[in-house]
This record gives sequence, C-alpha cells and structure tokens, in this order.
Amino acid sequence: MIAKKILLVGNFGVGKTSLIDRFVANEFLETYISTIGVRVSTKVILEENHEVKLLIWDVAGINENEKIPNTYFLGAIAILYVFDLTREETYKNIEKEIASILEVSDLKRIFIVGNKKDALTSGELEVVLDSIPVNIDFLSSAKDDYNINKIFRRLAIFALN
Amino acid sequence: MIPNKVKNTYIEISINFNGNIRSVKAGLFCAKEFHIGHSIYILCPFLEKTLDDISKGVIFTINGMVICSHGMEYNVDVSFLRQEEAIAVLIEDRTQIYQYLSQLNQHRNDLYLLKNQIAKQNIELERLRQVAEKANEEKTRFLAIMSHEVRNPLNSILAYADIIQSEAPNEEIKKYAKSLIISGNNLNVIVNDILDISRVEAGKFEMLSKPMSIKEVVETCVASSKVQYQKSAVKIAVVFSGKFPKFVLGDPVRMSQILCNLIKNAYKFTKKGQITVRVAVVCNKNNRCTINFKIEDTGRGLTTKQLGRIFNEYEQSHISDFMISKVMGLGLSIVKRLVEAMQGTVGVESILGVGSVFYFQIPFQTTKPPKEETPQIFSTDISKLKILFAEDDLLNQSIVKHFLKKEEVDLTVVNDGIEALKTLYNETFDLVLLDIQMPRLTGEDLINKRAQFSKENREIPTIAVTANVSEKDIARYQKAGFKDVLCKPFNAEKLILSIQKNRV
Repeated sequence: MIAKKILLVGNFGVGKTSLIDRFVANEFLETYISTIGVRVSTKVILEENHEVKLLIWDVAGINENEKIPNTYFLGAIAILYVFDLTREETYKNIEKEIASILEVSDLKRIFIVGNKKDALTSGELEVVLDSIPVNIDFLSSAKDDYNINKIFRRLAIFALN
Repeated sequence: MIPNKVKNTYIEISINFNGNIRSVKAGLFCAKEFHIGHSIYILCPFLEKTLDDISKGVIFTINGMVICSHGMEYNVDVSFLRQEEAIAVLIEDRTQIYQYLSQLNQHRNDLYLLKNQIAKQNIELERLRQVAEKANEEKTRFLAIMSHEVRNPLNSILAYADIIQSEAPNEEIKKYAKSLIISGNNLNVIVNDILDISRVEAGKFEMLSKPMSIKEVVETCVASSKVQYQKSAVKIAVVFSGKFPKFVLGDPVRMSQILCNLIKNAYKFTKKGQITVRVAVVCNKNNRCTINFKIEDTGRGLTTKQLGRIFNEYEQSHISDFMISKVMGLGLSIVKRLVEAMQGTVGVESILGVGSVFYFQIPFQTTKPPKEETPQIFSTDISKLKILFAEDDLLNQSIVKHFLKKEEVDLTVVNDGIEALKTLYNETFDLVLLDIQMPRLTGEDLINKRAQFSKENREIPTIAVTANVSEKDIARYQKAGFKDVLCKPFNAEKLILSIQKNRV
C-alpha cells in the first residue's frame, strides 16, 4: 500500500470538510461547523492496480491575510484548493493565493475546485466562471455528491505518477 | 520533580524511521495508547509522510492537530526532531485552548457570513427600491397624462353645461345642466384626489411652510361648508379650547383640504342632528404647539370592520364597504396621507347608529405674523381688450369665444403655436391666452420665442391655459414667463377673473 498525503485548503466555509466527509464516509451535513487546526482522514482506494492510502488533511479555513503554516506541507504530494462558487470573496484573489501556496509548499501543482455548484443556476455559474482568471479543474457539490470521487481519484493518479 | 497534573498534558516518545514506537521518554498524556513496537501513525495519522520530509537536527512543530483516543478528541501541538537513529516526538495537549479558539473562530466566521449575507440583501433591497421607484414614477407619469386627457373634455363638458345653465330658456333644462355641472365637478375632484395620492406615494408631495392662523383656517372651512350644505338639516358648530398661538407654520391649503374633506364626509353620513368641529391646544411651549382636531357627527356610524379599513383607498371586499367608499371617494385616504406628511396622527371612533368622531393631531411650530400684503387692485372691465387665444381644440375655442363675446372682448383665435407666433409678429395685443399642448409649437416653446414677437407684444401678459395642473408644471410655466396659469376645467368666472387680474 502506498500512502499519499494531500491537503485541502481554501477560505473558511467553502466546504472542504464536506468534500472529505462525502468522499470518506458518504455523509453530508447542512450546518457549518468551523474546523480548528487539522483533522486528518484516511481512505484506501484502488487506482492503477495500486492500493493507495490517501492521507487527507482538512486544513482549517483561512481568512484574508492568514497564511497556512509551511510545516503542514511537509511530505505532501498534492494540494486541492477549494473555493465557494457562491461567495466572491473566496475566489476574488485566487491567483495571488495560489501563487503564495505554491511558493510556501514547494509543490508544482495545485488542483482547483469550485464547490457548491448546486446553489447556482447554469446562467449564474457561467457568470462566475467567466470572472475567475485561473483554470478550474473541477466543479463540485458535496451536497449532491457531484464529482467528489472523480476529484480524489484524479489526485491519487497524480500522486502515483 | 514534575507533578502528575503537568505530566498529563504531554508525552515524549522516541520512534524509528518507520514510525514504530521505540520508547516513551516522559509524560503521561494518552500514555496507554502508545505501545512499544506499535506504529505511531495509528493515533497520529498526520505524522505519516510528514516525517519523511524532515531534515536532521531541525525541530519542526505542527499545531492544532486532532487525535482520537477512546472516543475522545484532543487538539495537540506536535514537535519532532530527526536524530541519528530515531525521531523524537513531543505531543502537547492543548485541547482547552483550542476549544476556546474554536468557539471564537466559529463566531467570527458566522459573523463574517452574516455580514456578507446582509450586504447581499442590501444590494437586492436597493435594486428592488429602484424598481419600485421606477414603477412609481411610471405610475405618476401615467396619472399625469390621464389627468391631462380627462381635464380637456371635462373642460368642454363643464363649460357647455355652464353656458346652458345660464342661457337655457326653461327651468327643466337649467336643472339638467346643473346636474351636469355637479357631476363634472365631482369628477374633477376625483382626478385631483388620484393625483394627490400618487404624489404623496411618490414622495413628491411638497408641503408649504408659511404662517397661518389655525382658527382662521378652521372658520373658513366651516363657513364654506355652511354655504355648500345650506339646505341640509344638519347644523354645524365650532368649539375652540385652549390658548391658541396666533400663527403657526404650515400649509393652509392642505390643512383646509383635510378639514373640508372630514366635514364633507360628516355631512354625507349625517341626515339629521349636529356636526361639531372641536379644536383644542394640547400643548403650547418653546415655540411648539400640538393641536387636536375632532369632527364629530350624529350620523349612521361605522361597523368595527369598516373602521379598520376606512382610511385605505383600495380595500373594498364587501358591497357595504364599497357603498361607503364610493360615497367618500379617496378623501379619507388623502386625509390620512396629508396628516402623516405633516408628522401628525389620524384616527376614528364610531358607534353604529350613534355617530362617528374623526380626529387628528398635528405638531406645529409657532411663528410671527406674516407681513401684510398690499391688496391688489384691478379693473373689472375687460371690454375692448385685444386678446389672442391660441388653442387647437375647437370645442375649447368655441367656449372661450362664447365667454369673452359677452364681455365684448376683441378676441382673435388661432389654431396652434406657429399661427400664434405669426400673429404676434404682425398684430398688437393687450393679453395672450396660450394653450400649452398645441401641435407644431407648444405654448411653452412659443413663450420662449418672445424675441420674435413684435416689439409691442414682448411685454404683454401671457396666461397659460392648461390641463397640466401639477405644482411642478405650474411652477415651470411661471418660471418660463407666464403671468398666470388657468387650469382646466375652468368656467367663465375663472377665465374672466384671470384676465382681470393680469391685464396691463
């Protein structure tokens, strides 16, 4: 079994814990409970004939000007940057924030996920996507279980390679 | 010696490079969970892979990690140091501190989200306010057009009815003409009421603030209603109580409108008995006074259900309500809006079959008496005056011709603004009556071309004859140079009075 450490980062309330809960336990809670520090969840998946043990770090949501401690990135192979499609403040500085994380983490690649797709109409979604200056890897909805497995499998494949 | 209380808050462990526990060096925190030879990753999954990346001889710390032991969650800060043959790990229990932090963080985030939600709602509210404002403006515009369109034919109806009444050969026809005049005037009141309501709703209702005598306003209203209802069996009386200031600041026209509406209302529902207008000073000090007005009647009274709706203009769910509001028109609704616009309150008490008391209370600022105005003296004889009348409506032309022929006025009538301009260049007049909404050149545009009139005509008085009767319109005409504004519908008396007042 190969263990791979991945980090979920992004503003508070964007749904990082919900994405993990949906992936690991197939659960979803409507209420928002802020995460303090880091909770690590694990899930073993079979990918490319390998058993991959994903060590998923749910890093507490940050506010503007707050930095993620660089020790969190020790041994990490991939980062998932999650933002909330319904809250502009969670993606308005996305370019700057991603550059800053890349610099601190020393990683080459960050996967970007726009969560809470279920809360927008297709028209609203189009407007939001047009306003975001970076490539978005996935749209997701933890509530509707949309794309969740796909995201983590993609991360596992990336980690393996 | 380290007490157990302190030992329970930390544990120091030595592990090999595979994460297996070699020994427990110190401390008692979750000591039963750390077994020699077992992997530390079971309790501390966050150390897996993390420890792979640490350099020798450097202490690393990761804060706020969560570990679970016997169903309990702990928040810990973890430090580790890679040595020659092992890794030293120090785990400190910081659960209490992180719990406080967690609560603070949750509140901060909730507040932030709430603030954002409020900001979004405010934007939406602002958008809705603008939509509502635009709709209201459209409504006001529509009503102004409607009013204009109604006033023009109404002018013809009333004027012809007036002519028929004064010239008809028999009494029966005169009676019919009188009925026409009453109905026409009622229609005129309704149009004015609708416009008043829409202006108040749109916040475009401007109240005057000039010195007025409350007693005088009340007495004038009562005197005028006595004349209007002289054939009524109902008596009317006024009772003043308290020490009245001589003058207060207010809008005497709107004040009269409130009182006259309520007195008229009382007359309509009272077949016999008495109407009493009671006016009392509630307080009068520091240049402020509050005055209470009551209009009591001995009429049919109102049911509780009717009382709840009496000031609403559009709520008519039952035939009986409809009958009442049909008789009252929009008067009470206007009364309520006017009183509220004067920062006052209005209400009604009633006993079915006994009578009703409509009351309102308004705060005023007391003031000094106004400066005496020199009374205007003007000649009543307008015969031989040379007057130009520009109007595209043939019926209105014929009415004015008829009214002024009797006065032996030398009248020239033209059909539009361009014809009027030519005539004012070629002929000399004493006065001009100008319709506003004329084809080719409006009355307003024509007056702006005064320089193209003959020299003799440039200073002569010009009277606007119009169905645009809003205060804003009238003010604009006056600013443009019209000496007076004659509002449609008008009768012979109003037309002649305007000419008498404004002739040179």
